[in-house]
Amino acid sequence: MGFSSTLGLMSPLVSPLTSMSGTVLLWVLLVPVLAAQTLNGARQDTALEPGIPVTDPLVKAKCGTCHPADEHGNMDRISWVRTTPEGWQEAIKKMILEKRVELTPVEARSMVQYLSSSHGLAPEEAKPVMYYPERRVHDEIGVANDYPLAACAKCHAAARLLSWRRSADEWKRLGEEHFAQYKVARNETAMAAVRNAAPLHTPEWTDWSARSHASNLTGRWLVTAHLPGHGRYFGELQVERGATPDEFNTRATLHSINDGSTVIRIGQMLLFSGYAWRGRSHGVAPSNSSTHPDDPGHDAREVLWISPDQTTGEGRWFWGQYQEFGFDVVLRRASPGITLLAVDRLSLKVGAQASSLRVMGENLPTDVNAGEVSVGPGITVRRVISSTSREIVAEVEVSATAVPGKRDITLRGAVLRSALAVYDRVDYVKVTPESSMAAFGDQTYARGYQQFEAIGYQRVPDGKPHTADDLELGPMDASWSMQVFYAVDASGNDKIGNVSPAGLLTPAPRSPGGNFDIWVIATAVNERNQNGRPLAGKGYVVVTIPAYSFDGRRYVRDLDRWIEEGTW
Amino acid sequence: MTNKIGLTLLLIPAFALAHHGYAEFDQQTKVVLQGTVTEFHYTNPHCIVDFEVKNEKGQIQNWQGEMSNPLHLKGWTRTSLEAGDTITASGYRAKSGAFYLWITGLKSSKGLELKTNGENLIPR
Repeated sequence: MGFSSTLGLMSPLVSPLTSMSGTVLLWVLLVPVLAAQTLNGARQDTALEPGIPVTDPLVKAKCGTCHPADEHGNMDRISWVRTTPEGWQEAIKKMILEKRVELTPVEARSMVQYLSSSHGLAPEEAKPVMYYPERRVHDEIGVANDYPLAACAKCHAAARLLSWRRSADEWKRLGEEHFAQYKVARNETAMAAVRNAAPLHTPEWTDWSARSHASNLTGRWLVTAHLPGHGRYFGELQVERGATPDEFNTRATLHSINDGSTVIRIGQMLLFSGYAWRGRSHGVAPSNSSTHPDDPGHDAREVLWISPDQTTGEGRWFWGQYQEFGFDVVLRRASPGITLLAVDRLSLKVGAQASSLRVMGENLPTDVNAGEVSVGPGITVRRVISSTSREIVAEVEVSATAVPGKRDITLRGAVLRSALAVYDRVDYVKVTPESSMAAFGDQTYARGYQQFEAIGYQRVPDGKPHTADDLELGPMDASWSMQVFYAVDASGNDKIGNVSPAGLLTPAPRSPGGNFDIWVIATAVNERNQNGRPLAGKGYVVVTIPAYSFDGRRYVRDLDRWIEEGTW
Repeated sequence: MTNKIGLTLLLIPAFALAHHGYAEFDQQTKVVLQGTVTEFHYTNPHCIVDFEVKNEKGQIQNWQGEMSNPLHLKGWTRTSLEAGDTITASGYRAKSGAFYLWITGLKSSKGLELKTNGENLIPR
């Protein structure tokens, strides 16, 4: 997992890096952005590509010595790059650590706020790279074949690269620095590709920088969420104005669709660039009494992308040693009308009779009748068992001739798209994530876990498994086991760890002193293949040692950086 | 730069270069196996092919073959190998005696070939 920097300088809550004022100087950042190697040197190509002037007095005061401004207000290097809040935070950290720039946390936060607005990404540019700040497991599969950035992807997430927009000259300088500093083979094709993929000036940025305005996220939002291993949730989020115009206080109430439990989370967040939600939250009673690492009330960081019209949002609330736990969250503003949020099952089998279906939502009619609820072709709503303003329970049956595929649910003009799937067989079980990482613990580092889910699929219509048109049926009941690569039997499994009945991999408390590749295997309880054997799927995990040392350097997981031995 | 990428497993396929050595394999003896693919995992840090091999007694052995990562398998996709494909795989077997092969060469019934000359297996 390629993790971006923490939100220490930005978070209004727990702020691990701001408390490291003495030790942050030890950071070693890999991206030589704003390296300011040309102190007081005039840019040679400013006439070729216009910069973005800097107007913030604090940025000019703190950065102007090494990044002089021209007559247009363009500051050396700064005016020819744009990036995310995390990118600017990283750049400022680098200046603090390497150039001894002195900033208070408040000043640093203000600078990140300004720069990520004036020299940030348009929402449309940020969305494809959100998996990076959201700390998602993300395989860069396909980069080698579909994208000429494979040379960069050998070391970086593609999203790290594309989180930065630079002038052609700035890309050239970055490449030259890499060629020199990291002995990377010169690759002009890759350089041309990245220049084209992430230029400084884009129509999206031109449009957004012209119409971006102060955002007001206050009010009531509806939430749907998924926490792997715990299932799906629905509920609401109250957002109130905080101490500053860009700061907000939040209170989320989530109800588990699986078991009916309730999670209440309160938090604070900052909004950057009008759409980039960065915050922290924690659970309150009753869920925070648990010490389980995957507890839904665990302290979490929040990274969300708010749509430009401020009506929807999506992102992740995450925690853990590798940020391996987290809610996948979708927000939408509450409205006076009927809103369909979720259903309690994600699939129905062809020919199913008298199946109950719970539909959760907002402002649902309490006088609804069976004819008003549509679950799509081949599914008949026989009767409405109960209805409240938040939930309708209906009895449905699926025709024996129903065509497999996704179905929308509609009710009096409200639509829940692709709410569930109709299927006639389960062809295979996919274990998610397909590849991942966990870690042994030691006296310094806590263990890194990994939660798995067994997802059923029907292969329609091309008949091939693992293709984009496969029909996802949702989590399957499964038993879990693990298999260590190269091992002839399971006798050594205990020294690696165990997998719980809920699919949570817990590495052994003590590191056996090496990395281990293992399969985590899900065997479906109710689904069998053509030969009558239970369907099974497996996920590939590397269980790593707690910390890496190599060639005089040590990887510090908390910092997501390699540092010189003895300096941390 | 390889030393800087050790833990960035999932986003950084080059991790496969560093996360384990090959001492687990008997590199003195090259093994050639013919079998039928049961599953192909196009995953980081290794692509893995599961395949069945009939031994001399006609019994089925379930083998697992480890290849490079997707970034180094130029031109390959998730469906390059599919269940039912027959393959000839060569490489080195795990010393433990497990049915596990570090694959250095492969040909499939559909004409797919793993070439170590850089044509599709990019040199490390």
